[in-house]
Amino acid sequence: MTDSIQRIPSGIPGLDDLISGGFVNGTINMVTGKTGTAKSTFCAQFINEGAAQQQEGTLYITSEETRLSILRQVNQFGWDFASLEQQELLQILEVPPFEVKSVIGKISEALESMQVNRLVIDSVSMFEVSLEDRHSIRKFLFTLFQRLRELGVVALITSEIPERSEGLSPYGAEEFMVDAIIKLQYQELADIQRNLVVRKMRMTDHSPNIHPFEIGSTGIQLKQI
Amino acid sequence: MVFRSYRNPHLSILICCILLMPVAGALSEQLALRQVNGDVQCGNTCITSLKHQDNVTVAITPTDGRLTIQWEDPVGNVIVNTLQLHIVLSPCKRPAVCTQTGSYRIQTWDGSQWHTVTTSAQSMTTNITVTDDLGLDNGYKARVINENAPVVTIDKFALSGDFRRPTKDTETFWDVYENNRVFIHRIGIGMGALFGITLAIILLRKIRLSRSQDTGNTQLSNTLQRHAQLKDEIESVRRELNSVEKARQDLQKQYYRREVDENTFKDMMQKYEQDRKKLQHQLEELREEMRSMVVE
Ligand SMILES: Nc1ncnc2c1ncn2[C@@H]1O[C@H](COP(=O)(O)OP(=O)(O)O)[C@@H](O)[C@H]1O
Ligand SMILES: [Mg+2]
Repeated sequence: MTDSIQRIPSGIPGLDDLISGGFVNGTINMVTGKTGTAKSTFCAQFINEGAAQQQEGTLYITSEETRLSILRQVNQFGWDFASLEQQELLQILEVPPFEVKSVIGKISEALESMQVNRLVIDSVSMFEVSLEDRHSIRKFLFTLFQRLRELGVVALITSEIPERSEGLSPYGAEEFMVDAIIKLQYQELADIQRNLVVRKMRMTDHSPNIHPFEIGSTGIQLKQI
Repeated sequence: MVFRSYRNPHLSILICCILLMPVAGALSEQLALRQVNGDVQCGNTCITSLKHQDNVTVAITPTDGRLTIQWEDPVGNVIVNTLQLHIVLSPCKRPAVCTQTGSYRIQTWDGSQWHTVTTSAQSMTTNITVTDDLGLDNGYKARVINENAPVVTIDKFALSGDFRRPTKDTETFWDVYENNRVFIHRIGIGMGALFGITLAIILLRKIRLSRSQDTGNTQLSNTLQRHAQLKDEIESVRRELNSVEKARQDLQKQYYRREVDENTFKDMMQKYEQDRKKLQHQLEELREEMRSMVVE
């Protein structure tokens, strides 16, 4: 680790301690997990930390939900995304999966109108579904990630692991291209059923352990083990 | 049991009556004897009197250093022909210093002379023929003479006879006394038997009661024993449950730190979960038994 590595807080209480202080600037971080493992919640909490706490410009690209749905969902944790939008700290961009080819263009367009430090794509799996084959998927991801790196933002993308899969993504493509992977999972036999694992994080001495977490009134909160 | 009967007033009264019956019997026998007997324990001067139901007065005075027994009919209308005199001499309790040894003579006075009737060592009985013309002034006398002793001590004497009713002359004093005695003794025996039976019943009841109390006590002590046992069992199941819970917590920590692999974790967690459910079920059953016991 060198002094030049700049990190930003994740906004998830307890997580930054496990990843040497936060996400590394200019990296692409993937939050992966099966459905309902709180990937979207993770993203919203990351965005809220940036916009509401750090006063950073943030961009939230959703391929799964509508803007209104997101506003409603985050409201239960006390995060006022509508107000952040008004303060021009947040821009929510609805990109339907079939418009996959336009996503990179839309990102560039959005970034022209505001200074963005954090960027969320929830989820890339949704775009992958609209592509014909593995090659197209890899090509799309490569282009997307290259663009994100050029922008110098901290990107958080989500990927949805199919229910019976042991992999980290539906097509096994993005895990090789991202800088960090945080896997959210269920362990039904444990007292705290949700947990996360930092599977990889470049330039970071991260925890090798499994970390249980709960979703409370203020969002995701990691538990001491 | 007898001491417990105070709880039942009827039973206590009955017991008191039964206990008092032989006493009453003995007392009444004593009273019956007193009516016809004279207890004489005397030395130089010894006067006792006894009233027969027909007003016969008996007086005893020492005469000539010897004891004289005298009786008279105050009405002067003696009809009866025969009186019976029974004398029991005081038993010689300490023979070494006893002066009343040797033979005794019992003499009766017929109005003009003494008649020696009989002799005996300890008791004497004689019949005295009484005639009308003997007269009151002389009275009827009897005396007991012991040649070796200046004073004779008479323990008991009895005088019998019917002074008024010649039709009853077949019934002597001794018949009356004997009848009374037998009657009273029978009452005494009857009361004794009654007392015995009552005592037996009481004892039987006491035994039965104490046996039933024993059974009750056994049940109670069984219950207490089971209660204590349950407490122990609950405690031990709870301890087991705690240790399973602790093991579960430890296993989860190990899993989080990746000290156990996923499959081992799953297997063990499932086993602990089964153990926990089994123990909780046991605990619930034991507690239920405890609760039902408390209600009893
Ligand atoms: N306020 C809350 N408190 C606790 N759990 C919540 C709350 N809101 C959502 N959740 C949990 O989060 C899940 C959805 O999270 P989400 O981030 O949408 O998952 P994903 O994006 O991985 O599918 C819900 O199924 C629910 O279990
Ligand atoms: Mg989601």
